[in-house]
Amino acid sequence: MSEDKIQIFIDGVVRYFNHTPDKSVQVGTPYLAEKGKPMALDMTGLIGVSGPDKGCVYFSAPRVLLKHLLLSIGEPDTSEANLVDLVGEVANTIAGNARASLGKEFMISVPVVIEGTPSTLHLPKNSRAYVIPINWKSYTAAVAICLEEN
Amino acid sequence: MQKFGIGKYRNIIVSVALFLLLDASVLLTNFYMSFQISEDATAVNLAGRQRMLSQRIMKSLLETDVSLFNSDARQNALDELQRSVNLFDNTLKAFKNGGVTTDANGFPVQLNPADPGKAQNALNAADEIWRPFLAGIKLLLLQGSNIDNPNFTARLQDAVQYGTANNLELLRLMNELTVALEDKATAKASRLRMIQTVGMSLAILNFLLILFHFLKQLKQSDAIIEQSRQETEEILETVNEGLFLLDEHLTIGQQYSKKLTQIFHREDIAGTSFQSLLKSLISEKDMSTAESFIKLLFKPTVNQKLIGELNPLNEIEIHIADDNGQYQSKFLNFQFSRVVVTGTISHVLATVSDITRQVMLSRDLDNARRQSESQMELLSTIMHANGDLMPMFVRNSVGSLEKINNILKLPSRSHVQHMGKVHQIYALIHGFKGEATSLGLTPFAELAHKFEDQLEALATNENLTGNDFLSLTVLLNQILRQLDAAEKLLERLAKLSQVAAQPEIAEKPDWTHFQNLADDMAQRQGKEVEIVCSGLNDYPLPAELASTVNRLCIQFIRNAISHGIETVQDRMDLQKTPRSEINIHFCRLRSGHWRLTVQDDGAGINTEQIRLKAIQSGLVTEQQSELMSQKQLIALIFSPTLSTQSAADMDAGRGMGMTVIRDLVKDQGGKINVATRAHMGSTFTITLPAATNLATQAA
Repeated sequence: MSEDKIQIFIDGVVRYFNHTPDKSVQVGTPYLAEKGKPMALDMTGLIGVSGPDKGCVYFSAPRVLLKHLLLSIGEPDTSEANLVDLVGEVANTIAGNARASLGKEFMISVPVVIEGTPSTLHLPKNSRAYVIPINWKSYTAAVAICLEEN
Repeated sequence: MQKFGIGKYRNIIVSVALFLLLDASVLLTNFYMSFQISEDATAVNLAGRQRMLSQRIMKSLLETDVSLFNSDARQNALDELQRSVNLFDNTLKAFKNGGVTTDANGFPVQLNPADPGKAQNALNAADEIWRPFLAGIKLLLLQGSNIDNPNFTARLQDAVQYGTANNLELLRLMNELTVALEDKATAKASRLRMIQTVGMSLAILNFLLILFHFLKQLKQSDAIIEQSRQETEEILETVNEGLFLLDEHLTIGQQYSKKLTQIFHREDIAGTSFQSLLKSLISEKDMSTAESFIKLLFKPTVNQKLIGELNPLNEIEIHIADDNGQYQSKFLNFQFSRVVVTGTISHVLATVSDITRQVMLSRDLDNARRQSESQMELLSTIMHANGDLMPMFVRNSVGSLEKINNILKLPSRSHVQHMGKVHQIYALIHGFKGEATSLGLTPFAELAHKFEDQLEALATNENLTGNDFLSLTVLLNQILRQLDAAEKLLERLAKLSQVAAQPEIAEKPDWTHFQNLADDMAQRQGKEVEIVCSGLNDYPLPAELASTVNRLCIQFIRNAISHGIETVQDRMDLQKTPRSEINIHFCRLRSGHWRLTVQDDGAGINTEQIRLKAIQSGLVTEQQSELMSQKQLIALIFSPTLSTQSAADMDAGRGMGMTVIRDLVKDQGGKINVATRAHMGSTFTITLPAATNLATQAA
């Protein structure tokens, strides 16, 4: 998993936040998750990846961040359904960015939104996932990249 | 027959033709016979008329006789006699010899001579009676109608007399003729009925033959067709390849194997184009190459074997969404072969096999080969290193790197926080590097050095952000993976040598790697060093303590060679022995505390140099430094940003060695004491608390 590829996913999230009125998004120091133990916050938008790299990439965020984000983009309805949509949308942006940068070879599935911890089924067992904290306002979300090492 | 494709229908065609021929024959016979019967009917009628005429002649004669006084009636009777006689005579002759007579309507009728036998006999007998009668009547008629003519009356009387005598015989004979003719007609009619019955029976038999024999045949061939259809279906259901036919326009045929639907996760394949089947699954370039390739196959002049190599789809990777919307990667192999029917290429048969398993297997094999190559490299590294200390190294290193990961994991937003992380990580990676170097694990040492370089770059970055740490995290992952591999390899080695691993108590570990490390470093720096150890093997040490002692010694040796010990030349100039000595002494105090003393006979700590360096690196101001005691200045060597070496190299120079020692001792709750004299050397005394002394309890 090259640094460039990881950067593309980080850029996808940053790009999403940069389209919101409050652009004060900061990337935290990336770290490694324990093998087979996914890091997850309240809600997770997950995209499956196949092709030369296999595994998944997900965006995970606490509810409070998502609610605040909805309000900041002018959506007063912070119902669960809207939160789900929002997480899905962020995941979609990441996927779109990756597809644009990595081309057709990088096959990405439709985002799935999960509450809580994603099933370990989606995670490659023999490699550590990269977790990149995304700081927005006083909250912290994260992008996790779990791709099998070739 | 074959040419028109009616071979298998020949029998049925012959049968139908026979049926028609039979019908036609019956019809013709019927036609002929009915014509004859109609002739016979005329003859019967005429024969009947002869009976009537014989009586009418007699009647006319008698009428003439009774009309002696009525000339008109007499004349009428004579006229009628004349007509009747002529008609009778003509008809009799026609019956006898064949000839023309007139029918009831006055039309001429051709009669055939009556058949010999009854009819002819009757005719001959009648003729014999008739001849004299006719002559008599003719003589009468020649006399005119005058009754006064005596000849007339005489002739009349003759004729009446003859007629009266013979008229009943004549009637009987004519009746006989009629009956004979009727019999003949009846016989013909019954023959006709028989022919018709036979013909129709044959026709019906023929029909039944067609019905049963050929229907049976048809049913049999239908059953064969059904069976082969079913077999084809079974083959298409079961075959492990996707099979389908392509026509010249690259349209897929109506039949294809079930596997095809499974490979492409779609059902609507029949009649679609080949292009639409692979649309968005393969690149446009591959698609157009494949199209040209298949079109070439339809050209009879092109040799199929020769162009086989050009098939662009013999191992193609596709990514296809399955029923759950998840993408699957598949490797497919397409084979195309011509289908030749009666000398022309009618279709191209495409065979698609899912070769994902084979491809993955060969990739796995490749990976395994590569992995084993890198494992061999790693193995040779491990073999060259001090084997006993490897497990400890791996354990310590994983611990250090996990600590680094935990530091990275801590939330940080500001520049100061980021910088703090850089410094903390520095100390840990430097410790790792030292250990790797001491064990001669050059690949690990190099990775650590690369890591330090990247940290260096981060340390000088004024706009440091979290994102800048990404390369560090990637490298961290790389080192961890190498360590994982080394760990697995060591486990396997341990199993191989069947030596029970003793991770808790490492009895009398081998400390010769200190000398190796020293020799290695000293040689690079033009120095000579002798390591003298004592007490290290006097106690059974718990693994953790042994590891701490080992790491401390390594850092002290590195530090002493890099900073304290002079080159051989310098030592000789100073009247010192060219070979310097580092004394390592380990003992347990009465209090149960552990004491490690590392003493070198080098240049000692140059406090003035420390002072200058500290000012240079902004650690203290000049004024502050002037107020500092010797002890305080010496304490600065444990600060992470101070190094008295001017350039960093593989051995030292980033000023982290003493920081590593400080952190290690701090972690164990120990104390450090430093004593130094210029040109005489330095002595570091470490006291570690008894709490770590598990060995005493174990012993």
